[in-house]
Amino acid sequence: MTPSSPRSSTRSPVSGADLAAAQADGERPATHLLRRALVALAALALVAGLGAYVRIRVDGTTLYWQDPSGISWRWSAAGSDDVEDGSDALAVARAFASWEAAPGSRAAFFREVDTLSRDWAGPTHLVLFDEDGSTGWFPPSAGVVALTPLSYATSDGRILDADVIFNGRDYAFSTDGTPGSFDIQDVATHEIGHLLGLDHVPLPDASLWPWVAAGEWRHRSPSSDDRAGAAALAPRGDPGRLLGTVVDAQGTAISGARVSALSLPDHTVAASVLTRDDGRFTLRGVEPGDYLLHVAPVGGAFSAANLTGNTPMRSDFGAFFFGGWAAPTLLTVSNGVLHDVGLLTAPPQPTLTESLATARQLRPGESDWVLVPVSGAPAGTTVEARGPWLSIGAVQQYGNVLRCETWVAAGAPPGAYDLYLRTPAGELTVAGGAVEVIAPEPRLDALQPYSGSPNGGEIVTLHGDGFQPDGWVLFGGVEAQAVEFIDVGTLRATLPPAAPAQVDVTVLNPDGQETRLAEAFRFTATPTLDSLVPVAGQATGGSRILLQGAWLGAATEVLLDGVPLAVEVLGGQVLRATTPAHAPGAVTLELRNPDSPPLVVPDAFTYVEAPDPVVTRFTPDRGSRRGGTRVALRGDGLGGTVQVRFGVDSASGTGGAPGSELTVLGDGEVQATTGGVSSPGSYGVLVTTATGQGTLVTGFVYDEENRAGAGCGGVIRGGAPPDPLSGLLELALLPAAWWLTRRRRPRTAVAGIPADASAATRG
Amino acid sequence: MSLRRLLPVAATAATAVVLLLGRAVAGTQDAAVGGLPELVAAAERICEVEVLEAVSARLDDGTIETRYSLRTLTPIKGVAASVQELRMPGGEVAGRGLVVPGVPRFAPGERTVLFLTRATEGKAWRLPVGLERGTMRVLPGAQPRVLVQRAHDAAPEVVDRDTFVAEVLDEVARQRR
Repeated sequence: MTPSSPRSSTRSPVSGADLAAAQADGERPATHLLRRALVALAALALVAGLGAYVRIRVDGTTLYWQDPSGISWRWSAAGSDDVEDGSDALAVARAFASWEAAPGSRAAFFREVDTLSRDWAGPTHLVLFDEDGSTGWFPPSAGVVALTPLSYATSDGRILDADVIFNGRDYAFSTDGTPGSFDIQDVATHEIGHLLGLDHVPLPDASLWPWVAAGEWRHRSPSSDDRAGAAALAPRGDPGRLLGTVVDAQGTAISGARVSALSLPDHTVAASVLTRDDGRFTLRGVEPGDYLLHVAPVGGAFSAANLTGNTPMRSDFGAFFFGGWAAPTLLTVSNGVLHDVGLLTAPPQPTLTESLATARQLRPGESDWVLVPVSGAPAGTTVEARGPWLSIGAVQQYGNVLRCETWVAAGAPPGAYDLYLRTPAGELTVAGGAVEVIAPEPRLDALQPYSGSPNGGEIVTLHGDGFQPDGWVLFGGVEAQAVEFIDVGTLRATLPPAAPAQVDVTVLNPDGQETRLAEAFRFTATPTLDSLVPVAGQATGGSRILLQGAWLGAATEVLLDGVPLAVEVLGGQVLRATTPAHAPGAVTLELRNPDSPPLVVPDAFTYVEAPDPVVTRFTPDRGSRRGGTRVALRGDGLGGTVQVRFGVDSASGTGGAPGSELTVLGDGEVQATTGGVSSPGSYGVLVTTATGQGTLVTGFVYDEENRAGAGCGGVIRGGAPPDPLSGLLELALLPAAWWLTRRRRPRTAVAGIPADASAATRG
Repeated sequence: MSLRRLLPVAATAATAVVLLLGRAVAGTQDAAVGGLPELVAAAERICEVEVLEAVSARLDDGTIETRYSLRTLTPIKGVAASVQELRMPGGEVAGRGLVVPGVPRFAPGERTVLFLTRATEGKAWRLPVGLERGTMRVLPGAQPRVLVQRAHDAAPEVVDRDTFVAEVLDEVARQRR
């Protein structure tokens, strides 16, 4: 990393486009790059360099949460207009959870009940999408993807309120990598860092790097530097601390210098911090272990302007390791121990400066050319890595770019790795976090079992590779109730409740990588049948039958002897269907839901020669709820009546009790006396004949007081009703109320419901 | 997206952001930014100003804004490129402060070239396009210079103030053509 004194130049710096072009150009990057000028020499407070968690400071006051272990947040239920499956809320919840997982930090969040409110100005810590600009936070063309306003007490910096607001008006968001959209979890993780009290940092590997590209997913969870920041502002227990003061050769304090701890033996950047105005630093949040310390200027694209407090940042000094490059001092961090490394004197600003702005991502076992924009690099400048995982091969200089062949050894732990540029004169420049090693890509191969109940709760084993602890599993966008990490190739997930369907299964690793197996799991919902009313009908067809059970809905197919029936959903897991014509005899009833085994009930329904009974009127049409009302039902085909059931549920034809003193007065009339019901109201009356045929009429009212004899019932009939939407449900049914109550099936797939209607009716 | 997004104004704004700022590296965590041409295109007003005063005020909805009184030194773009007041979220009033990470703050006496958005409805807030990207600080000295960051992934450079202003004026003129 380089120093940089104030530099003045009208030449353009090497841009990301140049680098990309150089990368693509392969053998001739210099030709391309030389068209661009020398890397501009410095600007006051900026320069290459990376790392350093920074807490938000306003006019010298550091913002903090009084109780970081109990920060509430609330999801504004409207969510993103771009996401319709509810995965937006889940993505935000995962982002919160990823911060909670920071080791050494006691920062914890709890999600309050979702709200329809969009009142971000209230005390609730709201997460919302502004889809129409109504919050006023996003002026047109501001280019702001999301932001986090923080309210605080000026007396001590205590955070009083914080909200996360996404700019849904100007940007598209997604949770599935939709091209051109911003990843909700990635953006949320960054904003939650602000909500915690962390400022932007000059480390491309970090979630709190100020910029994001559409489709970016790398920052779906905090980096090691972010996690160290979380641990610093909400330490768990009494972690160790490293402190010291950075000065220049004249003994003047250096502010804004980046002090980094490299974790041994890997040499990954564990945490960094910026020195204060007086040159002092306190590095918190690093876990117990062995570390090396180096100091370097901050720079590249990052500047003091990216920091809330406009903290001054000097860059006119050289990078150095504590103890020297050749034999850096090993520091052991232990809980509860404070290590004061004293005064650290920086060397003069070297001639070589670098302006790295992006990290090169490589996976273990991969190699590639890493480009480092530089200026002032003398011939013989070397590029080196430290530790066992990175090795550098050929180094080529094309104008203002050093191109170095970099290998990442298999097994290298994920994290940010520095590259070190050294001139023949021994000057050191740190290309901080130049290489970001990312974990192997996850892969989902299979699930066992591959189907389960929509009720959830079952354990499913996922087989694949590259799984990480603390990840998530989604079944069709619904998060598993629990996920147990067995090993990199095996997860165990507890099924969530979900709608019956064939769904994709997604494994999300905490580092943001994910894998999806299309249509890998089936929530099977074989229908169950609790009642069928009636159980017989006329051979000419047109009989109305009512089916009640579980997993019955619009997608359910009803077939009699293999012939689909027209089905109407009445709600409450009740279907109404009309029978087709069929030769007399018993037939199989089949209920089918998509992607599920069917329920097959042999001989469930019987076609008979006789026409269905019809009730055209009944009188009286109301009676006391205590029963005892004598009711006359008139119509046709009533001669074979074996039961009149009162107090029946008007929708399903179930429930109620048989009337007493049944008197059949020929085909045209039957009489019976009502029993009692527990609650007054309108009920159905079910007439059942000896064949199992029946008809359900509605509109018999039970009163608190006995008002029997007041009026008479309306139209009822068997067979196909002339007006299916009539207020008085006209169903030509073969009521088998007995069958309903006595042959109720458990809520599992059953095969074979006997249709002995006659016997049932008699029973 | 909501139907409102289809409204012409919103659509225009969204299009401007996406097309002008969101190319290549599509944006920033807090702000999507492009090069100087994109900044010029997205800004409704561009002017070099000196901050005279900063006063914070609490609004009816409880938020806090800072009202910067400005003296326009060089109007560059906009119907009324001379800006007397700039309202931005943030500030401190009556023991309570509001800060938005990424939103720049200015101190009296500070001189800067601002690329400003249109004002929001209601609050009349404007922001620099791309936040810190649309805020080119003028460094004090006998020969004024401007701290210019031409792309989000490039190191800032120090440019002669007159040269930079001329460059921006040229770009404005070019885009008008």
